[in-house]
Amino acid sequence: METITVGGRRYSDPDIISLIRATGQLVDPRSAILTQARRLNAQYRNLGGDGQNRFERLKILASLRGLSVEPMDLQRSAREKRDAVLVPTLNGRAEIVYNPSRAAGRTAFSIAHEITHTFFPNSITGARFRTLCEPSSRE
Amino acid sequence: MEIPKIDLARLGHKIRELRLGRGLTLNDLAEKSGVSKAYISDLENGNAGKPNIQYMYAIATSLGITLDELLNDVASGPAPKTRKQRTELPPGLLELQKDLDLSDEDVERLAAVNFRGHRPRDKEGWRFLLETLQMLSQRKLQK
Repeated sequence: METITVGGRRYSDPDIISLIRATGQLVDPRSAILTQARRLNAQYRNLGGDGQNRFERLKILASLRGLSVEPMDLQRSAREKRDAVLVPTLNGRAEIVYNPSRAAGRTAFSIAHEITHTFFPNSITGARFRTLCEPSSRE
Repeated sequence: MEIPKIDLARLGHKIRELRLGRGLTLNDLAEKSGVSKAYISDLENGNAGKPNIQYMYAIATSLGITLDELLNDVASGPAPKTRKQRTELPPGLLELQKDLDLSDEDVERLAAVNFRGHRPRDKEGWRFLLETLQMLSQRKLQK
């Protein structure tokens, strides 16, 4: 299994490795994600985003990453354990569907979490291969 | 942190193309998005100043796309070749294309034509030119 060591930490998750490779240098993956998050926030603010409404802000940030944000239908929200899910759509894009019956704070956190998946270059759903990781790796 | 600047003219062209492509009038889009018709018109003509992201989001959502898709390829700097060709279409020609479902090749051929030293300035002018050319080509075939 391929691994990359950065700053004394070893990474084997294929998506994390792709993320490190995409930076073009040996960058700590957490820093790589933070850089992208700051860039997205800067883009939002540069276009006059004021951040007054948390939910609206998240919808706009998701849209800047190519994602729409929609509530789950009632049937799904009744049986869905997760607060928000990133799902592929028929037109080859993806959308975040959130559970409208959950607390607003949890939903907001989960939508932000789903947006972060798009920072991983390998796949639309982000790091999906945790079971493949070496037990000794730190991710 | 450097964020690419938006080319307002390119953005305006894109919004107009998308709106017309969906058969929406300015009024329709204003009603759907909750953004004023005057602002959308200014935006389409590149006169709205620095775009406001809340309004842009409302417009993009009403057009059925994300902000990423709307802002993609409207950053300042050279545009892709195909995009450049589309944004340089003269007034009225795009509307005629939508009306008559003309191919991109037909539209580009029409755009390259000068009629009596002038180019049509509106949809009806382009329609007249197209019908004239069609009539002439039919006559040629009959001969």
